Amino acid sequence: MEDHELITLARSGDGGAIRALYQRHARRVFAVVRRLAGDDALAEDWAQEAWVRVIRALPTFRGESQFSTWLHRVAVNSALHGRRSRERKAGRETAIDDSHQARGGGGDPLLRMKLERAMERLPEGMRRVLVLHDVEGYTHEEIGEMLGVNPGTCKSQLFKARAKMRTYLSPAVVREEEAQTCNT
Amino acid sequence: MQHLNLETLARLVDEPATGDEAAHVASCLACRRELDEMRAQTRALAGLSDPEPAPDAWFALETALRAEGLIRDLPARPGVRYVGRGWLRIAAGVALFLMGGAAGVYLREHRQPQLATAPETVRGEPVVVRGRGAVGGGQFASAEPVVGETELRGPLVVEPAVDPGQGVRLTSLGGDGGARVPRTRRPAPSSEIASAQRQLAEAEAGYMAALQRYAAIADPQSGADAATRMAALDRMINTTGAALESAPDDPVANGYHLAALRERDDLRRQLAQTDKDWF
Repeated sequence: MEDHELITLARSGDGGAIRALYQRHARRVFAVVRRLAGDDALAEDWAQEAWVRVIRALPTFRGESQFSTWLHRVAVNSALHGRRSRERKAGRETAIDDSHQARGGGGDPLLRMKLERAMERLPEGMRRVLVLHDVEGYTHEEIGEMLGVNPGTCKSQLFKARAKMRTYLSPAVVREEEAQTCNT
Repeated sequence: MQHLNLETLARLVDEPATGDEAAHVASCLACRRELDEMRAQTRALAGLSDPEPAPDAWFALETALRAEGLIRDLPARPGVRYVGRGWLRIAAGVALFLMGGAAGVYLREHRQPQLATAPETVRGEPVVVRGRGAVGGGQFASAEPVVGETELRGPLVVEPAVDPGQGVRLTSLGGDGGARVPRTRRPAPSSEIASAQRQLAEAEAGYMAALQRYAAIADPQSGADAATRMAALDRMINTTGAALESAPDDPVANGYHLAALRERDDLRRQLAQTDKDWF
């Protein structure tokens, strides 16, 4: 069944249709909020919040944009503007370690784990921009709109985030401004 | 010459280098390698696989949706045809939704927490239940039927009420002398709230009227020329964009904003095609 058929049924409260939509899109929703949240429990709350909002609003969904695009955007905005829990933040390191062991994905698991962990270490502002641009593929203009900053600020944050990621992933790399002169 | 710093190399991943930068990268093996590493890092991020949500996430969501009456036990109804709706109905839907959302935000900011003792049924109150317990045969993680917040303490059974409008039923399992449930209630409407609600209603009426005006013009069936429709779409995008600034995670405003953006893109493509044909 196509999304639009499921949406039609879901509007009338058909649990099977809603579940089918959930199963089709849950992974993408969770992935983006998980990376933005940097925390499993918080991500689960935000993902659920996004789903509830979207299902609640289904009667007004016109279908001119892709359901997945709409859902993804709502999820991103829920995560960007969601409330943070101090308790959960405090327990973050443990939760991250557990999640990476329990939720391995495709590709090189070691590389994925390194990248995810490095992203966790980024300051929140940098992580948001890096996730939205380099992982999720949003443009600087779109990110700027979502974050309420201009695209130039977004770019600056992205370059800083990439640089930090590089140092996290390869601590041996030392390329400080005052460092070496080039002899090659 | 000094090596290029990491931020500069990060920029060169997807932006052109200046003349000096290009000359340096061409002559410096270390910087060239570092730029390659930076590009590989960016590619790896783009190719990251998605982590799976927790296996019980659906059950938590289902509980929340049932509590709100968004899932009903209906017989299967295959073959129901999706019927598109016009701009005006969407505009009205957006306005009504935003009106409800803004009122909710206002009331949420003005509520006062009160204590209640479990077991009890929360009737018609806007509550959020957070905690962990059992729901029927499944595990309860959290439910968010309306607004407000309730923190659970002690062992509790949490069940959706039979009537979704009743909210959530909380039953103490004992063991800690009766669990206490800090619960939030809406205060009785004060003159301040009534005044704010009036102002809100007036603002929303103005908003709806503006959207209806733009929607009528932007509708392809309106007979308006492309430039006029484009102007109306621009205004609608600005209007919904402004709405999103105060309610950024509002799904309806997001949906409407995206729809208007898409309509404008389509119109631009049509205009571009027209320009080509003109030549």
